[in-house]
Amino acid sequence: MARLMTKDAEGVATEVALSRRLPHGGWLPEGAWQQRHRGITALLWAHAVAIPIFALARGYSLTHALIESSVAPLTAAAASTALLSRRMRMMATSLGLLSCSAVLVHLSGGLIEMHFHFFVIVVVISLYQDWLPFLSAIAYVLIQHGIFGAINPGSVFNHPSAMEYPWRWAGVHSLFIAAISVASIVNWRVNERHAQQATAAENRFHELYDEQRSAAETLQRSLLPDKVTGPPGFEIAARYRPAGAGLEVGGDWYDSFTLPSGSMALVMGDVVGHGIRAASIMGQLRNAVRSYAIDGSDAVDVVTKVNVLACELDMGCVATMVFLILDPATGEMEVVRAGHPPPLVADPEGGVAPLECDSGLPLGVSGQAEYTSQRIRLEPGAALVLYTDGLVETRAMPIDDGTSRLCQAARDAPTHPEEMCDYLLSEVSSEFTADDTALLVVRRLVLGPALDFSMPKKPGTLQLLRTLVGRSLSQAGASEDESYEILVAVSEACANVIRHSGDKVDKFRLVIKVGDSYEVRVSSTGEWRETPGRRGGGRGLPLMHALMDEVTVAKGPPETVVTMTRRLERVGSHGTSTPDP
Amino acid sequence: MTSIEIDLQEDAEVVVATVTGEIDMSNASVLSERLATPALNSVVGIVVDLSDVRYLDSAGMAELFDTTIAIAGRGQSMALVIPAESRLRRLFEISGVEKVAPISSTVEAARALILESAGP
Repeated sequence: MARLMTKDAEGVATEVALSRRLPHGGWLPEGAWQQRHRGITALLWAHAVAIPIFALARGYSLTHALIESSVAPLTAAAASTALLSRRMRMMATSLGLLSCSAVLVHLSGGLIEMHFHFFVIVVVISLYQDWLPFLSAIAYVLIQHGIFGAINPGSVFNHPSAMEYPWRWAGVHSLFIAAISVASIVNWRVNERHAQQATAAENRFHELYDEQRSAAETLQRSLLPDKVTGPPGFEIAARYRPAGAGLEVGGDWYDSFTLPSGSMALVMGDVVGHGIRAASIMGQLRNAVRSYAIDGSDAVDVVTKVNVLACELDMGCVATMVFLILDPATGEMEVVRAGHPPPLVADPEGGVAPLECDSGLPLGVSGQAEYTSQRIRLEPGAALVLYTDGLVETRAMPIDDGTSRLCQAARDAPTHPEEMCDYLLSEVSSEFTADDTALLVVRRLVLGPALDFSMPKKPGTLQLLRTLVGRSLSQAGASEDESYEILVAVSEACANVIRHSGDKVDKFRLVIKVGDSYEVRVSSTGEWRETPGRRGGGRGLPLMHALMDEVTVAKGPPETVVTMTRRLERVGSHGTSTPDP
Repeated sequence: MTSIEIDLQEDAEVVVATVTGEIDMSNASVLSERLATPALNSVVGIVVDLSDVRYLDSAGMAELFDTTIAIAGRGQSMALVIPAESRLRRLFEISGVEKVAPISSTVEAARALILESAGP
């Protein structure tokens, strides 16, 4: 038993070794096979015409000529039938052509030179690079020569020795056919291996290409903020869409972050170039912008410093950028361009126009480049649209046409930034866009007296908060005395959240409702902790109690909530707005 | 960011600190830093003029309270100037800062209070 298995194993090993040496066959792609088959079939049709002529020339009757050559058109017709399998059609041409050889030898009276036709046909058949017709050819020669040599030696051979021993000479001829087969197999195997190597190389190329693209896209996405959130009173939405095809991903970025002053920084940039390199340069520029902005520099300073850094970095390419600092309390913005397309301003009445401001040099061109800023005020209801040139410039459309198309789309777009982004992308950008596209829309809300905001837990936001609450109080019709006192109470409540909620809490919520009373709710997750007391501290809560009619503090977890109400007498001097029910 | 400016005028007897802007927890510490350190031992006290302060919250009051206690340790006193019509008045009354630092309506009155407390 064990012996038997060993033998089997040896057999398998031999088979494997042999199969490695031999070509696999049958792998020709459909297109290449069709091309070769057409050529070989045409050759067969040529024989269908040439053989009768040869027969007539040799003095045979027309009937004889037609009957003897009939194998050629019959097999050629079979080979041309698309209904038959590839194998069957190959067999038809192979056997047809070999039969033509046999007929020619016969018609020539066994002329030895006519046997060369067999050799030529074997080489022709090897073009199929398949085993079946190949082996059939060897078998055909052996059997045909043997049988016909035995029956009628004169129809196959023309020398006495062969006529006497037809099978021996059939063997000799088969050996030569086998030899030319071996030569063809070697040739065929080399061809096959080269073709397979070429395919493997091509596949590897596609894999690498896809890997590169996906790495660039992953890097790109990881550098964009997961979610952009506006400061209170503003809504922001952003989109990034990679280019339709090719390696042209990476390089576009947008960013939004809150500065220690409570202002908001917005960035739209585009590194000229694509792929992982562009994405990594973009990452460096993005961090540089953040660092300089958080450092407290003004917008022109930030761009100037980033440009100097970009020149130092020796990026090997340039980048364009729009940078702006937005004061959420007033809606005022300081906008600086560095070679980037101008932002669009959509006013509340529906007008849309590119912001007029100096273009500035792209980043990384000259360390001495000077930048200027444009100050504008975003009115309540107005929006600002930042974008990269992928949105307005395509191969088919120059940038000016693209910009006016974008303006028109912005006029027709829904006002909410999320919806506006989707609308602009669907209207303006097309699948022909060869560049990636980034888009950011910021809109200033029209606020009534009621408010509901999530605020970052930073002391710097308190002033913005007082501005917003002050506006709300004025719209609610509170007198100046009432406004001031409620403002202090709200500010104290918010300061308490900032001071006492844990480190894990990074924002808090402020909700204001207005009726006969002014109702304030300040909340954050978690339990508020008492911070180590200081002598002069602890005045916040007494102030709140003294300034409001009712103050309750419900301590969590899950959340801690301060609720305060004060009835509005609305006597004394008033704000300008009337209450909005 | 909430902005604050403190201007110090010093003569032989008192330092007059004129504060303008808004004060909340984001910038209140500036008060004690600027008020407690520059006062020379030779002066009798500090007048803190809050007439041009648009907003001041409990964090600001806590700083004023602490500074008053701190300079009292050096034998100096502090007086605040808040005009009678200012809304800050009510807040200071509620919080009790006036118990350690007297409040006057004018710089002159505050200066007189400091000199008086220093004795003849």
